[in-house]
Parts: sequence; C-alpha cells; structure tokens
Amino acid sequence: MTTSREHTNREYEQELRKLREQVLRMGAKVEEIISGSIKALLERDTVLATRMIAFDRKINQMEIDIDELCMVILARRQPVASDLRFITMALKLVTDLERIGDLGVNISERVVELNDEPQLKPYVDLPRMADEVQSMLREALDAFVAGDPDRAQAVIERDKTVDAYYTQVFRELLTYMMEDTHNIYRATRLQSIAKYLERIGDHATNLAEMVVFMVKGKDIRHTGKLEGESAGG
Amino acid sequence: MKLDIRTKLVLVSLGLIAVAILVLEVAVRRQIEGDIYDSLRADLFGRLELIEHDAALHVSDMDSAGWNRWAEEFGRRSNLRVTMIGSNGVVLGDSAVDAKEVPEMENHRDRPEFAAALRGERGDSVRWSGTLQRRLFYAAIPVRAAGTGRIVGALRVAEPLDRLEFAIARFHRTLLLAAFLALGVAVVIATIAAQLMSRALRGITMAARRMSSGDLGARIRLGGDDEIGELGRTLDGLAENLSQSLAELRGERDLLGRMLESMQEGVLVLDRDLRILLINRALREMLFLGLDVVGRLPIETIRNAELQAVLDAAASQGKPASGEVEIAGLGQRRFMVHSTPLGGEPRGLVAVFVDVTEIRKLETMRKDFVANVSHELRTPIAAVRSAAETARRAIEKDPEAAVRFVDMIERNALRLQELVEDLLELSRIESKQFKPKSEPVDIVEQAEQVLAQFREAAEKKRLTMSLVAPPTRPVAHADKRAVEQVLTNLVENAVKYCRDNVSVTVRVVEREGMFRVSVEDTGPGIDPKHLPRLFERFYRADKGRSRDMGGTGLGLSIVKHLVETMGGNVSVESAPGRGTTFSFTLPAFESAVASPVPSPVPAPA
Repeated sequence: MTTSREHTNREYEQELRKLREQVLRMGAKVEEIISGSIKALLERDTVLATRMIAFDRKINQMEIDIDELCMVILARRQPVASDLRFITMALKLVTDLERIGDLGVNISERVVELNDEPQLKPYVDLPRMADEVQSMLREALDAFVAGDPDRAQAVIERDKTVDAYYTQVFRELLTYMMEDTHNIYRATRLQSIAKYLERIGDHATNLAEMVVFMVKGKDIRHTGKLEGESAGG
Repeated sequence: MKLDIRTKLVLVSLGLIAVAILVLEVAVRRQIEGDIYDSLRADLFGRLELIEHDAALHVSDMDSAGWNRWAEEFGRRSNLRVTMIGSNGVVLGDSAVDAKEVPEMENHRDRPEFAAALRGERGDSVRWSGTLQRRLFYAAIPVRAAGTGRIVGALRVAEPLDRLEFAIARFHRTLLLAAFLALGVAVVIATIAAQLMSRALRGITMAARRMSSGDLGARIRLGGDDEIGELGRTLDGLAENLSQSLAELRGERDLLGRMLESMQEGVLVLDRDLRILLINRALREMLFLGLDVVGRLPIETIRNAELQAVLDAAASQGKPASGEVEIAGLGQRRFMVHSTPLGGEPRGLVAVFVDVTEIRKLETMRKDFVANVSHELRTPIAAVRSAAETARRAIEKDPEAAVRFVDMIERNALRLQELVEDLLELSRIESKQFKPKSEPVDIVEQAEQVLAQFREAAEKKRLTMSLVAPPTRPVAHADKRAVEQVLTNLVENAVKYCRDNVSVTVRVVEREGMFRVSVEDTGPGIDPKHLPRLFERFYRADKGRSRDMGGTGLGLSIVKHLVETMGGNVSVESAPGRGTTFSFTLPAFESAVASPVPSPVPAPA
C-alpha cells in the first residue's frame, strides 16, 4: 500500500518535472525565434527570416502538448496548493509564450517584405528596443526557473522603457513618412515591427507577473506591484 | 544490558570463586566428617569394650533398677550416655533416663546399632535423638555371657556430635574468610586488567573513529603481542593501505579534474536524468555560469533550443550528435557542440563545446574578401568590354571617338593591373615568407623623394606640401623599399582626397628610440564611424567617390601590414572638416642596433 503510493508520488513528481522542462523548452524555442527574427531584420537575412517563420508550427505543437500534459495532471492527480498554482500558471504561461512566438514570426514576415526594398534608414532605436525586449523575456524565464519574485518584479518595471522606445520609434517613422510618401511602405512595416516588440514586452511582463503569483500566491496583475514592497524600497 | 569490561571480569571471577568454594565445601566437609566419625567410632568402641566387660559380670544377677544405676554410674564416669538392653530389645537401663521411666521406654531392638549388636556385630549410627533433642553418634556392641559367650544383651554408648559441629563451623569460617579475600583480590585484579585492556581498546576505538571520519593519518601504535596489540597493528595496516590507495585515487581524480578544468574546450557532463553532473571552467566562463548549476537541467541553466536539440538527439538515439549553437551570453557566441552518450553504467551524456565565433568571423571575412575582389575586378572589366564593343563599331565611322574608347580601355586595363599588383603585394606581405630587410633608412630623404613625386599633382590641385623634421638626420631601422611604399600610399591618399588650399605635411618626430612619421592634411576628414575599419581590405569610407579617384581599396591595408612587419604600428586620427592624420612608427637605427632584438620600449638613455 505504502509502496504503491510512493510509486504514484514519484510518477507525479516526474510529471511535474516534465511539465516544467517542456515549458522551459518552449521558452527557449520562443527566445530563439525572437533573436533569429531580430537578427534577420538587422542583417537583412531573408533565409533566416523564412526559417523563423517555419518554427511557428513547432511552437504551436509545443503549446498543444503542454496543455494536454496539464490536463492529464489535473485530471489524474488533483493537485492542490503550490502544485495547482504551478499547473494553472503553466497553462497561462504557454498561451503567452505562444503569442510571443507568433509575434516573432510576424517580425520575420515583415522582414521578408522589407528585404525586397532597400533599407529605409540606419536602425538606431529598433535594435536597442529589441535588446531590451529580449533581455526582459530572458529575465522573465530566468525568474521562472529560479522562482525569484524579485527578478520578476524587475522585469515588470522595465516595461515602461519599452513603451518609451516604441513612442520614440513611432515618432521618428512618422517624420520619414511625412517627408516622402515613397517611404510609407517600409516605414509602416518598421512601425509594425516596433509594435510587435512592444507587445512581446507586454507578454514578458505577463510572464513575470505569473512568476510572482506562482511563488508568492499573490495576484499582482493590473496593479503591477507586490504590496508592502514599494514601502520597503 | 550494557556492562563494561571491569564488571564482566568481576562477575566472571565471582562465579569462579563460588564454584571453587562449593567444591571445597562438599569435598572437605565430607572428609572432615569421615575423619571425625572414624576417631569417634574408635574411641567409643574402645570405651564400650571396657564397659562391656563389667556388664558381662552383672548380666545374670542384676535387676532393672540395678542396671539403671549401673548405667548412670558408667555414664557419669565416661561422660557418655550409656544404654543397656536385653537380648529381646527391652531397655534395661539408661544413664539419661530416670529408673522409673525406663520400663515405659519403647523397645530398642530395631535401632540400627542395637540390631547389629544383637546379631553379634559392632554397630554404629548417627541419629537425631528424640530423648536428648540433639544429634548423637551411637555405638553398640553385644554383651556376651561369661563362659558361654551367648549374646544376652547389648550395650550402647552415645556421644553428641559437638566436636564435629565445632570443626565444621571453624572450617566454614575459614572458607568464608578465604572467599572474601579471593573476591577482594579478584576485584582488584579485574579492575587493573580491565583498565589496561579498556585503555588499549579506547585508543583503538578513538583511532578507528578518526579513520572513519576521514582522518587516515590516525595511527594506534600499540605495543604488545596479545590480541589487542594485533588488532591495533591490523588497523594501522588497514589505514596505511587505505590512505595509500586513496592517495592514488585522489591523484588520478585530480589529474582528470585538472585536465578538464584547464581544457580550452567547454565540457558538460549530464547524468542519467540529463541533469548537469559536471561543467568545466572553460564552459562556465564561456556561458557566465557558476558552480550552482550542478544538479539542474541544461534547459534551466543555459536555456537554448538548439543546444537542447543536440543533447536530446544524442540522448534519444544513443549515438553522437553535433550541431552549431548560438548562445547569448555577454554577446552572441557560436559553439560547435559534440554530444556523445557516456559508455558504461550509470548512463549519461558528455558534450564538448568548441567556441567557433572567431572561426566563423574569419570565414565571413574571407567570403567578403572574395566577393569584394570579384566586385573590384568586375567593374574595370565591364568598362573594358563595353569600350571595346563601342570602339569596334566606331572604328570606321568615327575614328576619333574610337581613340577615346581605346584610351578608356587602356585606363581600365591599367587599373586592373594596379589592382592585381596590389593584391599580389598584399598577399606577399601577408604570407609568412615576406621578410623586410633590416637596413638604415634615412626617413627625411625618403619623404623628400615621395613628396617630389607628387609635386606636380599637388600643384595641379593647389595643395601645399611641406616636410617638418628634426635637424639630426633621423635614421630608422627598416626596409627602404617598404618605407617608400608606405609614404607613397599615405601621401597619395592625401593628395587624392584633398584639393584647394589644403596643406599636406609630413612630420617626423623622434620619441624614446622610435620615429613617428605622420602625414597630416587639413582636408575634409573622415567620419569617426569609419575609423576602426579603415585599414581593412576594400573598406571604403565613401564608396562611389574613392573608386572614381582610382583607388584599389588596398592601399591602407598594405601600409598597415608593411609597418607591422617592420616592428611599428599605424594609427589614424580624424575629425570631419578639420583634416586627417595618419601616423606610423619605426624603430630608430641606433637603438635597434644597440639592442639586437628591437623592443618597443627601449632602455632609457
């Protein structure tokens, strides 16, 4: 009786471990898409961009697999407390990751379109914004790995920087468009890419908020702060 | 129950003493009793003989009262109890009983001693006497009628066993004393023995405990040939062997560890569950990881999809897998990862990371170079082809135009030649075979020659040229032809890109055994973002313009290589609108000759 329960526990542990591993794998894949798409943009590499677009299917499959695993664990083990938080969080996390992957693919699609034309202008803010967003995504996933709400909190604060970048890029592109109507096609594509990056930043913030929820069991969505932490600063 | 050695020893001696005393008690008591009975018996029968003689005289004429008196008389005299019975067992007289009570006494025929006496034998017996309330020794003999010898009765004497009891009591006292004495001695000896033994054992225990906690240097060093000494020596030997084999193992392990740690390639070892078992220094430094990643999954610590794919491939297929992986650490780095399943049990995976960032960068440079060369060659060739075609058509209708196109062909052919020569020159310099000559070079003389070469061109573009040099003729330790080429390239560049009232100055400065030669112009200058790449082959700050001016894109590259092979270095300073200064250094001849190996930091004068 005891051994069979222990056995079940070990299987359960195994399943949780697998879930965590798969979420991280998906995270890694999404990171790869984002960095590949940005590299394709900066180096005007159409081949790379096309390869990134093809990764979308893989990401979708990963999302389905993780969802299924979560359902199986929920149905068979009826987890409670932190395990339940972890599984429900994984369910939401993959949705965000999948969206981020989609946005990465969108960037690559715009890159393919842009590469048909000469470069509009040297990119200045866009690479910086991309760096910031990538680093936010990396930090959010690191915080998830480490179960570190402080690091997650730091990611949340950085969303403002990305928003500021977006406004700046948008304004600059607007001047290009007003200057010459021939610029509009390329400028709107660049503006879309900036928007995608900004959206990725939002999703990374979501991830970070969920990490805080998972660790502390406290919902900080829509407030963005852990209570009492602002006073402690 | 836990007993220490002393208690056990005392208990054992106690047991031994008890057994000894028990044996002694039984054996000695029996002997003492036997001895005492024998002497009593002899004594009593002796006295009986005497009394019997008297009794035999009175047998025929004595009545009951007379016997009693007689018995009392003898009893008093011999200090014994004397009893006389008739041949039918009736008591005739007894010294311990009043005459009146004698007739009421029971028949004594069945008493063992009387029974024996009535049969004509001597009889004795030890019994509890109901009459006297004590244990008595009885002895009886027959009384025979004088003359006939017929047994007419029996005579008995009895003595209390006081003597026996006294002797036995004394014996018991002695025995008890001896037992106590033995016990005391046993306790003392046991204590001493236990002390000695347990001290030795405690020593062994302590040493063994230290050994088991890892201190294999602990030794017992016990003397003595007994078992404990033997045990101590065996343990010492064991520790000796253990520490020796441990030292060997440690040495091997250290060697392997040192090898792994000092390898340039990153090594990652995963256990059966694909958790990190070992990560060497090189990989930790490459990926900015600490030792805390041991025991975690690679996906948690490195989190790279491509790397995970390579590791998974090796783990799932059980055979080596490789792949090139780009990992973002501090900057992007490319790694060639070879991952192989570990042979034997327990299973695992080993992955070797080779940093190929530089190799890939060089490959890119080489690819770019080939592309650049082809591009540079294609332009003049295309010009030659189109000019040749046009010339052929024009040769009859418009000979003058044809001449112009032939000129164009010539010009482009010349350009091609220059390009090819520059390429050859560059590859000659870059190849290891190129050895600059070591000769004294008069820098000022070289500079004057080069300036003279461009005098005409400069005048055409209204440039002023000047040379500033120290009054001492600076003599460098270099290759004359190389110095000339370097100066030519630099001055040519200045003349090429400047016009209208710009001054070009060649300045020679001596500093710490080195000459610094600069070619300065006050021309348009170069955008600072181009400066770091200016010395790369085919790099052009202004693509369209420089090609129009007939540059090959290799001049500065050649300058850099030549100066460096002569032990100097090249630098450039520029600000847009204010001019450009190219400088190079050369070792002075004196200092170079004074110290055979040209050193960048010469000894102070």
